[in-house]
Amino acid sequence: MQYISRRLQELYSREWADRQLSVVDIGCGGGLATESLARMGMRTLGIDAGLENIQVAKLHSEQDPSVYGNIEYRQMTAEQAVQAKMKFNCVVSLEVIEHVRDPVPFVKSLVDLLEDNGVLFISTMNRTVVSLVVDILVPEYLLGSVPKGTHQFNKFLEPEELANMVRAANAEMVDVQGLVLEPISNSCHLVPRDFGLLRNVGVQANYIICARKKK
Amino acid sequence: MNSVGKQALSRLRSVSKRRAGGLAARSFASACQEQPEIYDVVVVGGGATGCALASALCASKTLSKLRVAVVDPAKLSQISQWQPPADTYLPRTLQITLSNKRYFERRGVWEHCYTDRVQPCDRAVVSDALGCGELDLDAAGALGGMALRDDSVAYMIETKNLVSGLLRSIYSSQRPIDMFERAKVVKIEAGRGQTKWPTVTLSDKSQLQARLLVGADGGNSQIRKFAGIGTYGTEYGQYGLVATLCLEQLNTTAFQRFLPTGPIAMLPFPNGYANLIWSLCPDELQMLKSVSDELFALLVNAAFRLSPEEMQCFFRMIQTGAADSDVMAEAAWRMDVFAGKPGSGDALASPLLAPAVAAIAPKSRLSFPLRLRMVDSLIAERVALVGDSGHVMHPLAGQGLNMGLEDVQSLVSVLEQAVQAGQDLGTKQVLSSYNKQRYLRNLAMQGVVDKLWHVFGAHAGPLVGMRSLAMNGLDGFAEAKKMLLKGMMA
Repeated sequence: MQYISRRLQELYSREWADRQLSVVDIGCGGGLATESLARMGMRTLGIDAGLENIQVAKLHSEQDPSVYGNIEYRQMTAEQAVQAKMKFNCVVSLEVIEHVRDPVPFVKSLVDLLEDNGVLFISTMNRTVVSLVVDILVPEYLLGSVPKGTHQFNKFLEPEELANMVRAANAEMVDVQGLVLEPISNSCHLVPRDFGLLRNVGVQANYIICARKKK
Repeated sequence: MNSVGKQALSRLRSVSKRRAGGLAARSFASACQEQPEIYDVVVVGGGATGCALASALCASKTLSKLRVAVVDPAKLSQISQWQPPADTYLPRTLQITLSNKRYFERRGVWEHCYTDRVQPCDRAVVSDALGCGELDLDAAGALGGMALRDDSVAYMIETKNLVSGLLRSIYSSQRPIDMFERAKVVKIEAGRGQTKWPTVTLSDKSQLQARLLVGADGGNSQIRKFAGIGTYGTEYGQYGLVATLCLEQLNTTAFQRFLPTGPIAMLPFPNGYANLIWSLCPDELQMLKSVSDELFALLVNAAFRLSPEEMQCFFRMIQTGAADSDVMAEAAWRMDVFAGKPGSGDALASPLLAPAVAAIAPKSRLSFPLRLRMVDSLIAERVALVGDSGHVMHPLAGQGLNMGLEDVQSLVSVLEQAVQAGQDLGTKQVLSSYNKQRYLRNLAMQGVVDKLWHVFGAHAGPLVGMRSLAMNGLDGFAEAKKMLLKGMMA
C-alpha cells in the first residue's frame, strides 16, 4: 500500500496533494485494499463480480468516516466498466489476474480504464518453484489456510510475460518490485527485484508492477 | 449514498469549515449535543507526555490531516503563559537526556522554553552511605572534549517550564488542534454509533468519538482502566519528597547518596539552586514535612555527610517531640565533628561531597507515593498508552519522562507509516508495532531501576560489600564509565 501511495505521489504530485485522483480497485473482494485507497484521499470505486463481496464491503465501509465519503462499490467486471466508458487516474488490481481465464484481454481492459498517463498497478504471483511452494503448497496443502484449488500454477505469470502484455496494451512499464508476504503479522514487505548481480531474486514468489498508459 | 451517510458527510464538512488555522480552543458551548464530535486522535492528559505527543502531531506533515483533540482538567492556556518566579525554582522537575533535548530542538519546542532556567549537567556523583562505594561519572573528564562540544549528558528542567514550552509550541503552530482544557473525562463508552469507536464524555458535556484514544493520563490512567489492560507492580512503601534548595555555592553536578531507607538526590539548577528528591518511609516523611525550614536544611546536609545511625538519632529526637532548636544543635555539633575529621573536608576541598545547603525555598516541600507499575500491554483496540499510564518507575534514575518521550516518538512514527499506507490508525494491526517497539524497552528500564533500588535497599550483609566493590570498581574503570555515559546520552 505504501508502495502505491509513494509511486502515485511521484507521478502525480500536484493532484495527489490536492486529493484529486480517482482510482478503481478491480476485484476488490471485501474491500480491505479499497478502503486504504480511499483513506489515502482518492475518489475510490471498488468493483467485483461477486454480489456478496460488494455487500460486505459496503457495510464495512460505513464504519469509518474517512472512508465513507470517498468510496463507492458496484458489482461489475472490468469489461463491463470498459463498456460503460469509465475512466480513472489509477487502476489497481491486486491478486486477481491469476484467476482470470484470459489475462491478455484483461490487461487490455485495465489499460482502457485509464485516463491518458494514468497509472496501473497489478500484483500477482510468479511462476517459479518458489511460488509453487510459498503460494500453493504451504497455504493450500500444509497449513490449510487457503482452500485447495484456489490458485492454479499454470496461471501464474512471470514478470516479463506480464510486462509484455502491458506493453502490448499501449502502456509503458515503470517498475517491478518483489513482495514478501508475512502470514503471521499479515503484512507484506517490498523487496527489490534484483539483488546486485542476482537477477529476479526478489520477485520469485509475489510481485507488483507499476505501469503508465501512454498518451 | 444513504441519508445517514449524507448526514455524516455534511457534518464532517461543516466541522472542518468551523475550524480555521491556528488555535481552536473551545470557545462556544456545545449546547444540546446528540452527535459526538469525531476525531482521529484524542489525547487524554495534557501533562508533559500528552503535550509532547500533541506537539509531535502538530509537527508531522504526514499526520497533518488528522483531527486531534487534547483533554486535560488543568487550565492549559494559562499554563502556556507561565511567568517563571524571579527568586526561586519550582520543586517539581524533570531530567531530560541529550537525545530528547535534541528532539525538542528539532521540533521547535526548546526555543519556547526558558532555557536560562535549564541546567545542563555533565557530572553525577553517586555514593553509598552504608558501604564505602563512590562513583564519579564525569562526562567532561571521561569523554574528553570529543563527544560533547555544546551538549551535555542530561538537562534539568522544571516541569512547568517544559510543559509551558510545549503548549506554546502547540498554540503557535499553524496546524489546528482542539484543546479541551478544564475538562475531566466523565464517561467512556465503547462501540457506539455507526463507527463503533469509543466515545468520551467530558465534564463540560462535550462528547468526543475517537478513532484512536491515547492514554497520557498518568499512573492512575482512566483510559487504561477503560481498555481493561491489567497492571502489576509493587508499592515501594515509600514517598518521594521534593524541595527547592538554595546552595552555598554554584553547582552543576548531580549528587545521589543511597541511605538505608532510600536515596537522597540533589539535582543542580542555575544560580546556586538545586532540586531535592528524597525517598523516605512514611514516618520519616511526616517528620521531615513538619520541621522548620532551617532544621530541614540542616538535615539535608546531614543526610549527605553523616552516617545512617546519626540520621536515625535525629529522627528519634524529632519523633519524641524534641524542640527544633535542640535537634539543630545536635546536628550542628555532629557536622562540626564530621568537618573536623581528616579526609572529609568541606565541599571545596573534596569535590565528591555535595555542596552545603544554605536554605530551603519556603513552601517548596511536596511529596508523592513511589511505586512500580507495569502493564500487560501498551495497546488495546483503539487505545494506546504513553508515559506513566504505561509504566511507572522509581525516580532514582530520572528515567520516567524520558521513557514517555520515547513512547511518543515511537507512536508518532508508527502512525505516520499507517497513514501513508491508508490504514485505520486504531486497529490492533497498526498499534501492535508500537507495542512491540516500546513494551520490552520500558520493561527493561523499569527492571534496571527496580534492581538498583533493591540492591541499594539492602541494609547489611554481603550485598552491601558487593555493591561498594562494584561501584568503586566501576569508578576506577574508565572505559566502562565512558560506555555508561555514552549510553545515557543516547
